[in-house]
Amino acid sequence: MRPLTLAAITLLLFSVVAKPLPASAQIDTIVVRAGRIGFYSSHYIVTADGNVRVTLSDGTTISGRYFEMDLKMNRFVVAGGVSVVHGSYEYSGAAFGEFLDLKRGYFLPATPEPDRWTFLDSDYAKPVKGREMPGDAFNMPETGVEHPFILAKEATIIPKTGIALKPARIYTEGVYVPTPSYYQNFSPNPYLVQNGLAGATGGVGYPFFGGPHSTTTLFGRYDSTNKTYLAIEQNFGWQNAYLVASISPLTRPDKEYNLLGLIKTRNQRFQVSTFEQLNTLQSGFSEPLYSTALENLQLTYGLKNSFLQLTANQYHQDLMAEPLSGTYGGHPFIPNHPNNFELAWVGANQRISKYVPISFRLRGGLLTAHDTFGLGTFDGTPYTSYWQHFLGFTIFSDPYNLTPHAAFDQAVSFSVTYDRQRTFVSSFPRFQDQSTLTAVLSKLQGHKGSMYLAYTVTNEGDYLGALQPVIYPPTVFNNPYNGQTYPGFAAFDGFVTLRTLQYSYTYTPTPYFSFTFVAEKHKDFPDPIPYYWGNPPYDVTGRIQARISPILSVLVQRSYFFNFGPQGWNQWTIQFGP
Amino acid sequence: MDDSIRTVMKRGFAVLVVAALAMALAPRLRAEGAEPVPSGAHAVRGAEGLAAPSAIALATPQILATQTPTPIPTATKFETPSPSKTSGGTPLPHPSGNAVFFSAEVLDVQHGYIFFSTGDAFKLAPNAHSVWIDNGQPAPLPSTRMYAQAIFDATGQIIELQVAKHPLPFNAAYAAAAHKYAVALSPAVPNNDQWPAALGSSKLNSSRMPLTGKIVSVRFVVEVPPTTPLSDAVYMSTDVSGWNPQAIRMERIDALHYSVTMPLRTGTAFAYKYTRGSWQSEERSKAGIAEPPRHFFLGSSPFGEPDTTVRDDTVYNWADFNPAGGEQLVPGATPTPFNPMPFGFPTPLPAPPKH
Repeated sequence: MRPLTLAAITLLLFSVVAKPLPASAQIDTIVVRAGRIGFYSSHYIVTADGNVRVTLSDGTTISGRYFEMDLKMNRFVVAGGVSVVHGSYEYSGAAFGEFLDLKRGYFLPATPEPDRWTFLDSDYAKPVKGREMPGDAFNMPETGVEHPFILAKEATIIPKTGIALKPARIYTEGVYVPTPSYYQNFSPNPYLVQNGLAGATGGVGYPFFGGPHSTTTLFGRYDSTNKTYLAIEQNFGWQNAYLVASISPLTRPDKEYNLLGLIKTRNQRFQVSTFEQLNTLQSGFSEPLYSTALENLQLTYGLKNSFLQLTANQYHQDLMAEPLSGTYGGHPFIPNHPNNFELAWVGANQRISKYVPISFRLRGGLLTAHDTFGLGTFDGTPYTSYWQHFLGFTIFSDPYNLTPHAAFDQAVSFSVTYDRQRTFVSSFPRFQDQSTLTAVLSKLQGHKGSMYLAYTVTNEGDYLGALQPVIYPPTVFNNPYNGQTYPGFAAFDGFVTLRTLQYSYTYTPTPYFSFTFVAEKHKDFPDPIPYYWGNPPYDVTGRIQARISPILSVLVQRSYFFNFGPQGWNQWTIQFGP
Repeated sequence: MDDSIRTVMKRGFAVLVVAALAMALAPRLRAEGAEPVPSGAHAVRGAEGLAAPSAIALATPQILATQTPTPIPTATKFETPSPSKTSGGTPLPHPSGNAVFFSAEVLDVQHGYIFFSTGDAFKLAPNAHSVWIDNGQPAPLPSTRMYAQAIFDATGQIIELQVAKHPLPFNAAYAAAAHKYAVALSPAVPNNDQWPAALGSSKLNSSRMPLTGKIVSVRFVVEVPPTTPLSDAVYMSTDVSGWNPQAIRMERIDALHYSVTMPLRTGTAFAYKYTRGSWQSEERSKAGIAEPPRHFFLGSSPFGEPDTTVRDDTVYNWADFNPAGGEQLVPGATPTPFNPMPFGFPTPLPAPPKH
């Protein structure tokens, strides 16, 4: 055999045998297997001990006695009898640390003598020997005496995105509850946590499956109508898009199937979003007794200092065929399928002049609605469609500091906002006006307290010309709930004025707890009617909002109405939220 | 009327008592792991590799490896080192000769060497022994995740290890003195990643000033659209809070501004968005688009690290703002042909009774 051929074969064999795994590979996943893996969710730290074996997505394996990873800082350490195997390369030493963001691996070999090696760009085939290391190359953050939130045997970590643990034992009220798996998202992308569920008083989520672009979560929820029930939600998220599908309740007949979605262009100029909801009354997943739906599509296009928005809504009052009896289990059949389209232009804030602390913003648009089965009647005439267009503006002052020499946290400021919109109904002689004037006096009380005093006047008018007394005939209203007669209501002819003086004080000792007290005085025209219309003459509200865990907060609120018939104390509002 | 007011005042006082109790409980809840947000409490690590525990909420520093030249004091429950250990890195008298004390977390003990989390490896003397630092009783050689204080003899070998299962006080001066005893086969090669060379090229902190993890009072102030309802709360949602839409409640300054002040360490970085409590009411850009999250990094100026800093933001639109008025579609909305209501507005009758 010729020497050249021999050399070529040798080179080929060497290249095959000693071929390292691809250098500078991005580490996409880190799989950790160990006797005990702990996940400290409040610190985003994962620890593992007992025959730890770490497998990187480039095939490199690192084994040792202890593993710890700071998921937010995106770095990990393996310590104690460490062995690193990368292709045909194998090293043993005391510790291995990897800074994934910087692509720097730090290794302490033990034989024949201790040394310091650095792997640049995740190329574990080429150690740079003797290179100085940062002081925290092998730092292992303390977890203190805190219990791990999850205990597991295997963890799959997707850097900067999420961690899947299995089998997962979840720490709940002092007990570890065994579950098959748990997925925790910690991505900087908020599109993986969009929520399509609504309406429950409280709930707990169990995200049991996930990946770089998806999360599946089972919820235990409660509301006063359905009581305790399960719901499920599937999230998909990308850089410029998300999709959320959910069913809630999953275990009750009155179900909502939701679909939320958004996609936008990279230049952040054009966006399409949608919301679809199917409501059914069905046992399990059998044929529904009745079904309604709504579809919403919104297209937004950004202009310079303004945007255009097209919104389309389609409602389906009943998707089932009309039954012979005319009702579905007590639910009357409603044939309507109305839709509406709105094209709006919304301007950004514009300052009148750089010398005048007053700004304004404009809006306007068209709206049309249609329903073959009829939208309603007006002056005795049924309508199946109508058009309207609207123009509106908001003019507002900069907050004027009344105490220029006071410290920031003692400042008192004053501002005025006036909003007005006129809506022309094109299909018949009618236009509607709405205006709101708000004057606010605000004061900070240190860094923890703030108060404001606001006076708001809202006017709403329905202008019908000659039809005014026809549509709004003088009426003496008799309230069946308290037997009281309201002769003053006869003066109502389509024009409403609401005046509110509101005082609000909020005490926020930490960003995670607040107490708010609100007192209001109302003066309405026409006079308010308990249970039917308007605001009580006086009311007070107390509200406490506290965060009780990183994922759970509670809001407790109650109001009292003064001089408003039998309506005194309102029901407690206790709302658990994210 | 008077009676009802008195009743309300009594009950209002009860609410205040409940509020005070809740406030008193709040720190305990946090201490028990109900981590405030931004959570994580990731302090900037000192060069010695020990994190500084902190009672305050901290977000995640991202570029620590190149920006932590100054050690941060480590607070522990351990007793203060004896007086003989507090005079810098000068060798001190010890029964077996002059001694240098060095304490850190142990990575491993292999082949007659002990490796610390500082990256230093020291040779164990043949007669080296180990004791528990808390009671002086004989102890086995330390293993991974234990803490040890090493005492060296004049030759630079460790003759005694005082071990513990809890962090020990760290003395940077001793660490520097002991560093000369560290064993490394290869000659030292400069690291270009290290400050200040890398720091100057950092996109996040181009001031070339070191970041020490100093606590800075950071005030976030946001201007909201004039159409924002007066009674609404505004929140910051951050990536370190799992994008909880009600993570950090802000307080109203005036009709157009909300603010929140947080103590953060230099080096802290996180992404955030503003909401009115849900993702259906998150912020929108001037172009009406759901823009990517904002990013915050607490760096330094050419004059050094600040004591306080203010971050001003503007929210131009909210996602649930409906230009034409009326009710915005949200999950759970009831389908109705009159949504938005084309007829009857603003007739106050007949509304269904509400109980």
